[in-house]
Amino acid sequence: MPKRGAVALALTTLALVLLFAFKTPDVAPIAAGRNTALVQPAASSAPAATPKPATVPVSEARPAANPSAAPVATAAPAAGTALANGMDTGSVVQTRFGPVQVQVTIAGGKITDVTALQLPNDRQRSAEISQIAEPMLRSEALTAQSAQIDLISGATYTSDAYAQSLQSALDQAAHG
Amino acid sequence: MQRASRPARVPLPRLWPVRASDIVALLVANGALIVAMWIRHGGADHLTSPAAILTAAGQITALLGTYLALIQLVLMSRSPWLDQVFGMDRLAWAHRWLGFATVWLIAGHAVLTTVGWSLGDGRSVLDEATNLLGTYPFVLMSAAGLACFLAVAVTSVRAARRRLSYETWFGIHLYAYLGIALGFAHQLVVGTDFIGDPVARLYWISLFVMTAAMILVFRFGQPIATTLRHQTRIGSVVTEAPGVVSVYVTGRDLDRLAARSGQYFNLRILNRDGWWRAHPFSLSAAPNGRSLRFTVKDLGDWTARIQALAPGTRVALEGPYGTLTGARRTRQRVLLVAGGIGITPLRALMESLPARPGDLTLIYRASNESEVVFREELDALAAYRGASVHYLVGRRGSREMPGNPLDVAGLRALVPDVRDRDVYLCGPFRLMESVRASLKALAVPASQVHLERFAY
Amino acid sequence: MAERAGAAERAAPAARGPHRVAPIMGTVISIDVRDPGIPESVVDAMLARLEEIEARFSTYRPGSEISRIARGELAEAAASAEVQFVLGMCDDLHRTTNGWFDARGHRTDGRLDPSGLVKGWAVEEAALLLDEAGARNYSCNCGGDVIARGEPEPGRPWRVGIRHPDRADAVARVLAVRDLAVATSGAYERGEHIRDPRTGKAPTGLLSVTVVGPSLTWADVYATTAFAMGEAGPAWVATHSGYGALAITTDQRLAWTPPVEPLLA
Repeated sequence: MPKRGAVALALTTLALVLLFAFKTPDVAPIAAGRNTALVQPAASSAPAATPKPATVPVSEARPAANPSAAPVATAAPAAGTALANGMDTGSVVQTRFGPVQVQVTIAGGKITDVTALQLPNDRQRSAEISQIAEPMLRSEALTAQSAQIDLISGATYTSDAYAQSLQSALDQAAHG
Repeated sequence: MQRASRPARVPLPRLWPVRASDIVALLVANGALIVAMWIRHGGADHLTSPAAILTAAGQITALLGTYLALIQLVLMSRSPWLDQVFGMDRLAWAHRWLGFATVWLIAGHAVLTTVGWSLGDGRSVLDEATNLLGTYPFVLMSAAGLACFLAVAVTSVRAARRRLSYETWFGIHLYAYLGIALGFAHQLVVGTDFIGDPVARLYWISLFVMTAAMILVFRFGQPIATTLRHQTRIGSVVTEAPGVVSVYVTGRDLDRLAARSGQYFNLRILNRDGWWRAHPFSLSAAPNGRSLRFTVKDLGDWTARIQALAPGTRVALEGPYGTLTGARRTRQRVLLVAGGIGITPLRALMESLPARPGDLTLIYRASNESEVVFREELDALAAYRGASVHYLVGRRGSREMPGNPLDVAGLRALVPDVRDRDVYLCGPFRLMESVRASLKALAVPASQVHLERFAY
Repeated sequence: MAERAGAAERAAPAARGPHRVAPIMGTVISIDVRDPGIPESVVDAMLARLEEIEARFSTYRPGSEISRIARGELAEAAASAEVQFVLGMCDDLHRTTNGWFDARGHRTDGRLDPSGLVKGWAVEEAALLLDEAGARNYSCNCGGDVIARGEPEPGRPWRVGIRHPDRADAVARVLAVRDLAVATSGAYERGEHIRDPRTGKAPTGLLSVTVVGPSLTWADVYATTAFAMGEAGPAWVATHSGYGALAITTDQRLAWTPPVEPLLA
């Protein structure tokens, strides 16, 4: 074989060795259910970051005269802080398919469960995301219930519609 | 010099019950299956934004481009079915055109996917490319595969091929194998159609496995088996004419080696210089069970190496290939038209084609007398078999040969009943095209015209 | 008609706080304070505060700051601090919800309309006055947006019914809540006024979405947004810590996220 061929073969082999040695970042694949591996909570570069419920604008506008008055919301833990027990949704993890929002369960200060959630993208790029998102919703058939009720939540009704509503009946009953 | 003698019986290569339409239908159906798989996986859904459209286009080009690449390998796998149905020359022609289509599709896939994802992620194309190459497994590898394809495509453009030596071009072309291999892993691991669907994954893998099997069996296995079994070696080398060399190959059990007159083998000289490349050699005599005679014309400096071959040198045989055989016969009478070195397979046919006296006519066109080979053998064969031989020697436009001796009038004069004959053509491209046109003008049905191109 | 509510106890007025029903902001607010000793004047102040917010923000009043800004008569930078604050919040929400919440472009006439945010925020502002007066057990229901603080009676939670999409007098499910806000978004009251900002059409797949969480402002926004998103909405709500969603789908099913589970009564 001509010498050029031998050189080409050597270079190609070298290139292949380097290629095979190149490893992509080993983000733990999000498997359905248990995954205790690395998760960075609340990456600030997340494109669909959670509006932090803790910063209820009302509290900002009025430094609370009664700090205990405002209902407390669970804050998404900032990167680097100790993990508070409970379930935190909104953390964003970089997976090989892009950023995925996850629901992280924390017990004993450690992450015990990571579940990936679907993002409302206009196109699911990778089938694996839809594979690993656990069913989020429980459901049952719609019926009408009659049970002791104090008040009704519904789509906003006008004053006229109010008169026909159950809420008005409740209000009347309260007034006598 | 070989005397005209009745050839011993050698087994004929098997004819398979396959037609061109079968093969084309299979390939098209497979392609349709791939598209259907993509659609079923939701590939054509939600095409509502440029990002989605580009990403979808990136997927379908990937699937079809890879499929074409596998077909490319199959075309060159030396499969006897494909050779029988299409002939190696047509397969090589298809390989050339499909090759460019393949590379366009695969390069298109890379561009469309990167741009589509960058739009979807709101990143710059460069950032997205870096993201794809750096964080997705095996994508960098597949990019190297794409580079291999591009190198092959660029060097196969006619302008480039002319500037490159055959060795260089061929060496680069081999990187196509590497390109396909490097792209395989990312298809399974990142390809949307295969991640979640084990059946689709199995199907895809099986396509690769079948292609690899065909290459292994027909391109490597069969030649190795033939060579080992028959222990083929160079018997002797004879110079027939300036630049024309006959090589006698001897070996063991050659009466069991199936071959037809009109076919050719790829010979690979197993010495230090020649082992890496095989050359096509036509059988110039009917196989007689004791040796195989191949005759070639000077096509480069390697002819000198052939002439210097020592008897006993081991040689590997690949083949037989070729469709210019008695298997194509449809008529009782036959016309053989040879141009220049195209005489080689026709010389073998003349020896073994079954024909009654008067059924066989040979027209041998050569530019000058020194180009005519086997004249004595041809004359002896003609006498023995009751065949006519017409030597048309001279340059067109010269005083001796003012016009084209093989135009419509010339052919009709030489062979008045040409419309009732099978015509076997072999020679330089221009000659064959010109004769084919004359035959068409003479209303010879295309099914009766058989030709094989040497150069493609 | 459903059973009368259990709060039909005819306790002496002094043993309970004020119960007021008043029209406001085009709908009706029901304020039900269970702590004794909260004067009626607090409720008056609440209604005044709501009126003040309506005067600033109502898109139905040509003289409101929002209407003037929409017409170009008033620059946002020159509006009151409150209006600027709310509009800023709307813009933040627009970004963080990837465009799903859109105060500036969701109306067919393209006019500025932050009412999706103002609705719940206004009630929360009013309820603050109750908190400042020391009330710990009360409920406010303004047009279907509910704040349920504490307990209606010692030992049991507020029972909030989710309106049945088909019948104004029926309930689909009851939630038992303490210190939570409940907001519902749906198409059945006002027709198809909620549009998916991407397609411009009414979202399909859901009849209503109810969001439960600590703040009515956010619950209201999330409910509106989730409803516009359609079937992906409830899962999206679940990505926000502390908030749960219960959806009624067009194929007559109820679906809810895990945080809602313990609240189902």
